[in-house]
Formats: sequence, structure tokens, C-alpha cells
Amino acid sequence: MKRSNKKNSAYFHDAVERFMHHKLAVAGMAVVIVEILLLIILPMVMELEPNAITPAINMAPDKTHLLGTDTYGRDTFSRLIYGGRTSLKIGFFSVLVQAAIGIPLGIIAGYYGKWAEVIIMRLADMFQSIPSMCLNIVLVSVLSPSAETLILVIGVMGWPAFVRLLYAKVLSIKEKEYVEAARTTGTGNLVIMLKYILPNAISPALVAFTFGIPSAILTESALSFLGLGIQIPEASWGNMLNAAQSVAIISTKPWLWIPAGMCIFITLISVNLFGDGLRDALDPKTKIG
Amino acid sequence: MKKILEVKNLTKTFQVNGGFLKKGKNLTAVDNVSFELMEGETLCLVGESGCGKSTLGRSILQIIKPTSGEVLFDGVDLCKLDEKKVRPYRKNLQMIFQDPYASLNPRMTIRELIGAPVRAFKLAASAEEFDKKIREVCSVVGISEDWLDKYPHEFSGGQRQRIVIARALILNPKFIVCDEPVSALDVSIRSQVLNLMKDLQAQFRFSYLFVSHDLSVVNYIGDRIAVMYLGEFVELADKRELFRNPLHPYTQALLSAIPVADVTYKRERNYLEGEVPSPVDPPSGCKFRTRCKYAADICRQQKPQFVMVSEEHYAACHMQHCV
Amino acid sequence: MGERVLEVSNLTTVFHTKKGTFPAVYGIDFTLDAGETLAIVGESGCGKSVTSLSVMHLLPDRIGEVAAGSSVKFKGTEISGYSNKQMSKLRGDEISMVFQDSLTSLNPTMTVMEQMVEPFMVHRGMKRREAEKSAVEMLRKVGIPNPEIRARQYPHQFSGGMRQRVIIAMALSCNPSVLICDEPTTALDVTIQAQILKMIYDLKKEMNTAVILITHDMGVVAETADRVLVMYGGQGVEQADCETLFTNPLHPYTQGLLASIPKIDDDTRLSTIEGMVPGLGNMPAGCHFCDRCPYCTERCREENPPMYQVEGREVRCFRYEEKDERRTV
Repeated sequence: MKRSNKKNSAYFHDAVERFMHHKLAVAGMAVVIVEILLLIILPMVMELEPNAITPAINMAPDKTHLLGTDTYGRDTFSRLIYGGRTSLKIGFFSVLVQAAIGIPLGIIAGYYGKWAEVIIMRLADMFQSIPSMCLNIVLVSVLSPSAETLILVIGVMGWPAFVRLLYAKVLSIKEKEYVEAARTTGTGNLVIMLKYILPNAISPALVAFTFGIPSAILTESALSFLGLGIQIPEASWGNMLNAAQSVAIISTKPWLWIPAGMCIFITLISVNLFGDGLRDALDPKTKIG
Repeated sequence: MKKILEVKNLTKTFQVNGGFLKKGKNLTAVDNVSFELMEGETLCLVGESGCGKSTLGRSILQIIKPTSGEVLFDGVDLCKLDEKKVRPYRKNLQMIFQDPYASLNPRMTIRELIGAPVRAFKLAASAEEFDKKIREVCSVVGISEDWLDKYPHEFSGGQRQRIVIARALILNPKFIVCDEPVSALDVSIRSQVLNLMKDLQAQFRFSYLFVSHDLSVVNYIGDRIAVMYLGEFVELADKRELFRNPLHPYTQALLSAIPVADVTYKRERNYLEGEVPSPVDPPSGCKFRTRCKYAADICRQQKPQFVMVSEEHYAACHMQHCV
Repeated sequence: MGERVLEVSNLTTVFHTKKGTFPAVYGIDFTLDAGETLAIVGESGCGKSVTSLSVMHLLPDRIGEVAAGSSVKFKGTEISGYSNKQMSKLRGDEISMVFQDSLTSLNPTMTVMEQMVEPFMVHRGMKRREAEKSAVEMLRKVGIPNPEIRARQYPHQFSGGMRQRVIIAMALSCNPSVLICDEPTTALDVTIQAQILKMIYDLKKEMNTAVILITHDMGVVAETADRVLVMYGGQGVEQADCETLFTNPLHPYTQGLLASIPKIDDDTRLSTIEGMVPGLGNMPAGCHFCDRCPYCTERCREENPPMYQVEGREVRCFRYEEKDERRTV
């Protein structure tokens, strides 16, 4: 299917072009890429020892410790880099799990209606009515905390948000004449869902995806706060933030929490901008310029 | 002439205001409609909004499953088949929609849109064959080839309607339902599309079921005309006969209500009182009696039969002798 | 005809879009006398609605703007420079407007009565009780059965035709001199359309209101208008009294338009106007219709013809230059 490839690449090419015209989105993407590259490359080129306990405790930033050290004498900068790897991994993959469960279920519930709708939507209600933090706590403690467990638990607990988004969108899209047109031309249900409904319903999910990442990072840090997140000595931005529990640290040792907080904040903003741009780029109606 | 489609006692009832474990009211959108359609013929359905003309078109195509009745195509009752078994017949049954803005998936290129039926039935073995089919239909419908890699939003209403027509024609169907295909278009564009549809029919001999509220469009494109009121056929006749000799009071009112773009056209205006009653709770007997100036007792008590009054001219009215 | 109520001359409206600033209406001229119905016809995008919105100062903020040099005189007073405050005194009182979409023109959370009394209280300074009485009277006039009861209901409890009647009642409540109807019956069924058009006609006669009817439907024009202004590409291309226009159209666009309408008693092949309406941004340099015109000449492509006065009517086409009655002037 040479022609079909050509067509897809044309669509992709147009989308890239539209994305590139969205300056803030490009900036957001650049920040995310730089961030990921730094997190990958820095540990290779610098000697970073996030878990090494040294006698130099609570030191303010200087030449050897770029961002100072914490109460155990560990280098904050090293912890920030390694913690970022963990946090981004958890953030991205747990939302991926949410979307992977939520998007197909949402489309099925919306498109088929009837029993599929009743079962899926009531299940989503159930999941959302249980205080997710309590269940998170129970599940994590049963499964023993690790990055993988966190991804799984946050992912499995978060899918109803995607189901709801997709379901609502699909309900309106399946009434559109072009879906009816596809059915009259004999297009099968699977193709309708993949080619007619999904592309037109995906944009709010993309935005939700980008909002989900920082939220998952924060959930991880909340669990860390309870000792159920990433386990010390391993670092994450969440548990670094939680080191700043006392007023004394907040006011006298800002290097312990400001970098982690800034990183979460910057990630949140740039991922959201990226998501906005992606949504516009995937819509052929967006005018370039 | 060969009969291509036969509809017998087709009825579609929707449940409204119902809910989980709650019985709703019945809305009969299409009520016991029967007709036949010949090869190369155009039957037009006219009526006001809510009369069930679009539902009828969709029920025949099985996009909406009818509640009862038969739709015989090639001797097979489509109503008895489930969606999977109807699918092979869809090659011959196509539809053109009212809103050319809503009936094209905005995320697909024109090439993919026109080719969608070919893909659905896997009728092209290779990319070359797929392209050839698209090029053929484009030349027939008057679509230039540099449209093909663009998206629907880049085109105007008239151009989009051409794309919709190309998509409906690519499989060489025998029967096309047109749901108000020109009512969203401007006058000067409308005549282009109407002429195109007529030319294509002359060339390929398919049949149209043409749904419209505009009697002058119907007069231009149609062979026979069926007038619908609250889900029922009230009159069916050859268009010349219907315009010259309308038998049902509703048809007469419709004819007299259309604005005619001709200052020399003089006629007695026959204003219809009131509005269409709710289809959930239609009047007893003749459904039109609440707005009919000839209504008598019998109209309340008995439903008029849809009978042949003169040659190939059917009407459902008790009071034909006074009308 | 009666007193001159509206005089629009050289009305030009520009639209500021992302791609730049384009005129949507190019120097429209028309007049309107009391008790007269002027139809402005044209296809979508021809500027007919923009014209009425410009007169009413209802253009979208920061996007649409009436250009300098345009003049709109209401009963001899120049109103094109009026402030928003001055205009809102005029709107709904002396000039009112009816839109196509009756559902969005009414507030769904207020009863019809609450919306009906407003113009009476604002423009006529009536007390609530008095205003309610007048509102019921107005509803009765537009043919709403049981107006006392129906007035207490919400818009969604009315059918489309009934809602349009309510809107017309509101527009006429202060006995305006000018009523602008923008596609008032396009969303309605033909039998209801016939009722509404007849009602507008009857009320107009009774109240001696001047009506501007904006529509794309030549049938509606033929049956209701006294005079017709045909617009194409933001310009008036022909203006004549209704009968003359339909029996003897001069401009090639008007001719093409009339010939492309399906007739009720004739199904011979329709003629068409080839091509498409040009967009806002790519108007031809010369005559706006030149790309689709069967009589197009070199000159038409380069030069935009002025409105010529021919036999008491106006037409914008070089073919009538010879016959122009103002030529000697």
C-alpha cells in the first residue's frame, strides 16, 4: 500500500508543519527534550553519586556541590538528576497506562452504547467513587513500593478520567453525518472507530495526557510523603520536595526544595504547552500562520 | 422497466423520554409506508420537518433498523438481515447527505474519503487500482486531481457536495438516497449540483430516493412525488399529475405555500392554519384533520385508506369528493 | 410612498482578519421610505447581512468596522457616528431587527413575558403592569393563541414558528419606523413561512413600517418586496422595483440567478452560473462578477463598473454604460 503510506506521511508532514508554527508549543517541546537529554546524559559525563552519604551535611551550594547537600550529606544536584529520571518515568508511563485502558474503553462505551456503556461507565463510577489515595496506599503497601508498582497503581486508578473524556466526545461524534456516511458505504465498526472516531475524539485526551503527567508526579510525591513512594535512599522529585516538611528547612535551606519544585513546575508548563500544540497540529483545520 | 426496490408496510417507532426501567412514549416516525421504485427512476419525498422523510430514507438503507415491514432489494428483505449480512448490499445502496460540512470526516484527505467504500469492500488489489478507480470517478463528477491530497475544510459547500457524490458513486450503486442534498447550497451552486445529479443518473441509470422540502427542486429532479405528513404517505403520483391535480388538502396547501420566484405567477393563497401536531400524540383518524378545512366527523373516527384514485395516483383522504 | 426613513450612501465595511483587512461591503447605496419593503438578496458571503449589521452598529467588536466616508441617515439625522449609547436608544425603538435563528435570539432562562416587557419599560418608560398588558396585546397581534397563558411560558415550550412570531412581536413592540428582517423564515417550513410572511406583510401595512428583508430566496422576494437590491461580492449590482427586476433583469448575475432557480411548473434543464462566489480576500480587481460572467471583456477584468442609472433603475455593468441617464452630468 504505497499510496496509503504516502498519504499518511503527507498528513504527518502537514501536522509537523502546523506544530512548528506554534511557537510556545515548540518551546515547550524543546524544554522537555532538553530536560530528558540532560537527565540521560549528565549521569554519563559527570560523576553523580545521588546516594552517597558524606559528612558534609546541610551545605549551601558551592563548587563541589552545585546545589548543596541534604541532612545526610548527599549531593542535591545528583539527587535532582536521578530523581528526575524516576519522576518522569513514573509520570509518563502511569499516564500511558491510564490512556491505554481508558481510551479504548471510552470509545467502546460511547460507540456501542447499551450494555457496553452500562458496564464500562458504572465501573468507571466505582473507581472514581473510591478515594483513590486510600486505594493507592493499600495497593502500594500490598505490592511493595517500587517505580513499576507506582506506575501500575497510578495507571489503573486513573483510567476513568480518560473513559469519561472519550465517552462524551464519542457520543457527539458518532451522531455526525460522516460516521453515518461511513456506515452507509459499508465500513466496518473497527475501521469506523479507528479512522473516523478516534482521530476526531483524541484531542481532549492528548491534553488530558499532558495534564496527567504532572499530576502523576505529584501523586508519587504524596505517596512518598507517606513513605509509600519511591523508597529512600532512591531519589524522586516528589520525595525531595517532601524533605522540606519543616518551616526551618523551607526558610533556611531553600536549595533542598526549590530545585525539585522548579523542576516539577517547569515540566508541568512545558508538557502542557506541548500538548496544546499537539492538539492544534493534529487538526487539519488549524490554519498555518 | 425493472423494479429495483420494494418497500412494504415500513414502520419505525422510537421510544422517547424513556430511561432505565422506565417505559417511554412511542413516537411513530414512519407509519406503514409502502412503495416501489423502478430502475433509473427518481422518487421524491416531500414534507415539512419532522414528517419522517429522513427517517424513511435511513430505514430503507438500514442505518436505522425499522420496527416492522419489509424492504425488498434484489428479492431479499433487508430488514431481516443483521448489520453484517446487510453489508454486502451496501455496495448498491448509497446515500448523499444534506450537510456537506458534516458528512466528510475532517481528518481524512479527499482521496481517502472518496476511496473509503473501495477500502471497505477491499475492491482494489493494488494502490494503482485504487488510484485508477478514484481518478475515474473524479473525472465523471468533475473533481480535479489536485483536490485529492487536500482536506475537506479547504473546499466550499458545492465542492464538498461533489466529493460526497463521488464517494456515493465510486461503487456504481443501483440505488441512492439523497437527504436534502442541495438545501444547504446557494442558488447558483444548487443548480450546478442538481444538473450534475441528473446527468449522472442519465449516464448510469441508478435510482434516487430524493428527500426534500422544496417542491420546486423536487419538480426539477423527480419523476414521481410522495407527500408525507406525520410519518404517513398522504399522496403519491407522477409529478405532473401531482402539481396539476393535487388531491390531498395537505398537498394543496404545500403547493400554495411555496414562494415562487416569478412575479407573474398568480394564484389563490391557501393558508394552512396551526402547526404540525406532536408525532408522539397524533390526532385520531386522519392525522391531518386538525389543520384541514374539509375535516368532518368521519375524519376523526376513521383512518383514511391510501388508495389508488386514478391511474398511478394514490391519496389518503375521506373527503376527496369535496376537495 | 411615504416619508424617507433611511438613507444609506457609500456604506463600506471592512473586516480585520488574521490574514489582513478586507472590505466586506463596498460602497452600498440605498434608500427606504415609510411603508416600503426593500429586499436585499444575494448568496452567502455577498455582504447582505453585514450591510444590515453595519446600519445597526452590531458588527463584531474589533473585527468589523464601518469605514470613514460611509453615511447612514435615519429620518435625516446622520447616525453612522452615533455612540453605543445613542444607538441603543434607537435600536428596538425606532429601528429593530429580527434574526434567522429564533432559538438563540431568545433567552432560554426567562419567560417570554419577562423578555417582552423589556422594550416597553426601557423605551416607553412603562410600569411593569402596563407593559405586560401591551406585551399580551402585541402577542395577540402576531397571532399567538391564548397570549395571556403562553406569555408565562419559556421559549423552549414554543415551536419554531411560534418563537419567530414572539421575536417579531418584540421587534414591533415600540412601533419602529424600520424593521430589518435577516432571513426571518429560512429555518421554518414552507407552510409556516407563508403564515409568517403574511403576518409581517399585514402588520407592516397596519403600522406603516418600512421593512428591509434580507434573504437568499428569490421566491420570498417576488412575493413580498416592493423594491429589490441584488448584492454580489459585497456590492450592489442591481436595484429595481420588484416587478421590473423579475420580468426584465439587466445584470448578468441577476439573469443567471433567476435562470438557475428550479421552477414549479417547468423541468427543462436549469442554466447555471459556473464557478464559485469569490472569497473575501480574493475579489477580482475589476468587476466582482467578471470570473463567472458570460459577457466578460478585457475592461471588466481591469475596471470595476459604477452603478449606472438605466430607466429608473440601477445596474453595475458596463453593458449599460450607453444608456446611463446621468452620463451628461
